[in-house]
Amino acid sequence: MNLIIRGIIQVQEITLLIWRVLRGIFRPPLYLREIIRQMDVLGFGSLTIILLTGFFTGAVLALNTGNTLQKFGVQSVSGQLVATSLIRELGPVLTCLMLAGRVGSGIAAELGSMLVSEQIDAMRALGSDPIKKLVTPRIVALVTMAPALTVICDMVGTLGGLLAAISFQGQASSVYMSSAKVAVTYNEILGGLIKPTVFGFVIAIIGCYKGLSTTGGTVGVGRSTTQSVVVSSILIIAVDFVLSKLILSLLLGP
Amino acid sequence: MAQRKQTSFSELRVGILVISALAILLLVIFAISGDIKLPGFSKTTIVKTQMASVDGLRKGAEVRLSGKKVGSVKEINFSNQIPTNQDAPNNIEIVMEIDGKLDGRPAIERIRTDSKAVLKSAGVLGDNVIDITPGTSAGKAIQSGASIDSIAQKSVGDIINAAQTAVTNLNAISADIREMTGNMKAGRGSIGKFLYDESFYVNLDTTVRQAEGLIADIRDGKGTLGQLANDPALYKNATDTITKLRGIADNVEGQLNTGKGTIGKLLKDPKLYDDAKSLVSKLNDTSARLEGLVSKIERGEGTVGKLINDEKMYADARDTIEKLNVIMARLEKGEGTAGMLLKDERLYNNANTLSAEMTKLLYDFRQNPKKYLSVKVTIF
Repeated sequence: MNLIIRGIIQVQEITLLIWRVLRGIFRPPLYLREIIRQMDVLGFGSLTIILLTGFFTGAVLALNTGNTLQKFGVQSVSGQLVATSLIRELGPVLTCLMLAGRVGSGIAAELGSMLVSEQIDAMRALGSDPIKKLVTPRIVALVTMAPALTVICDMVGTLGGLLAAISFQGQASSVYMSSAKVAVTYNEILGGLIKPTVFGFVIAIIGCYKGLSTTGGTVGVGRSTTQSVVVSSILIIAVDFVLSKLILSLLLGP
Repeated sequence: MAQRKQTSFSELRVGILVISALAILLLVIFAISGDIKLPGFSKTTIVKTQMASVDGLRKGAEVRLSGKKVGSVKEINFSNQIPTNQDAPNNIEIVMEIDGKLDGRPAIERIRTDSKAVLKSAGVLGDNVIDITPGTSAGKAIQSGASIDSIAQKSVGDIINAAQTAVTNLNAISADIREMTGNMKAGRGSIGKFLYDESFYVNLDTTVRQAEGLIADIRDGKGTLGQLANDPALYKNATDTITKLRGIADNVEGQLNTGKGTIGKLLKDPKLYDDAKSLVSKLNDTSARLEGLVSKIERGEGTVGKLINDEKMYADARDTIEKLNVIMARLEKGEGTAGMLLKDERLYNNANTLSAEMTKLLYDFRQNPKKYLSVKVTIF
């Protein structure tokens, strides 16, 4: 019973945090400089791991599916397979799991240590809202940067698949590319952009919440960081399931 | 945001609200995609059908209306009655659940009493589905729980059985074809000879070569055909001839029309005809007279008649000839004057000498006429 109540309390507190963030966006001061800085740190800073993740995911996908497709004599659709998988599912999910690991943990650790070292209390004493100053820029930065990184991940992944298909499967690049183009439709791209937007929001809000709810000193900071990664990863996959269902029935048809 | 030991509902209401809202959101998301059915969210109708066999149809299989999904199979049960025969269509009862809406209208509208349920397989190896044909205005609207008829569909096994017969036939045909091609390959039969015997080719080749030579000759203008093909003289002559012939024909035609010339006269002038007619009548006359003459001769009238018919004259003539024969015989023998004249050469010899003497005399006279004439002169 205690567990359920704790869960309900956490949901409630996250909801209240979201409410404060949303309210803060439409009220000055906006801290635009801070938003840009967070975009740079959280978004551009993650570009390298996103590039590598995307590239190798696409290549592995082309490699593994290539042999199976060859059995059925439809190796020519491997481009479509890789592109569809990346745009629909793997691009958003892998990008955001990487972001949860690298950025979500960072946010939780940063805010947690600020809370533990009473910097947040100091900030509040100085008259600036810590939610507006710390939470809102991170959320805005992740909500905007996660789709951008996903697009890059999709593209690099498709190119990785192309390289794998050419070098290991002996496929013609034109066949792969024309097949991949079939997968790129407006609805696919739209669906593939809705997901990372929601995931970015989830990562940022969980990171911020876990950071701001840190208790128990420096040990608590470590615990918050771990919990942040675990909870946001699970939430990403759970929300992905619901979103996939919604996108499939609304955008991509039966 | 520290945790508290004791919590009341008022402190949890936002969390509970958010969790309930999320739960409802999830339910709605799955409900609109048709995966879970919320009571009241969609109204379903039960439609039943009976089939002889369901061929592996499972509970939850798709129910389609003209190929579009409208519901699912709810139950598959053996019917209560024992079927009367093997293929009785009431062996198994299928209960189908039809969804409430189809393109915004109740799907059940389209299923009417004359709709038929067909068991189909989705793809060659796919799952079985029930396909319902859309009802027509001839049928009535269907009530929930009502039954519709089913159509027995050929199963894959039936198709394979039918295909087996076809394959057997094909085998027989292919054996025939193999025999045929074997014969052909061995050079038997007309086609075999045609394909494998070279003599046809050789003959054909020779013929073609000869034809080639012939055509070359013709092209070069050699021989009659060549001249015919290449020399325009014949054509020119022919043309001239035809022109002349045409002139003659024109001429003749003109003459014919005007009645000039022989042919013209022949055709237009009646004189010839008249002459011919009179000639014929005269000939008739003559022949009548000749007839009369001949009959007179036959009767022995007149000189000729006597000559032919009187035997006395023949007897006289024979007598005369016999007497002449006797005379000739005596003449031959040299009897009598005439005989001597013919047979005795003395008269001839005397006459001959006389004639020679006469010639001498005449010759002499011509040489020396004075010898004979001088006498006279000397007298004077």
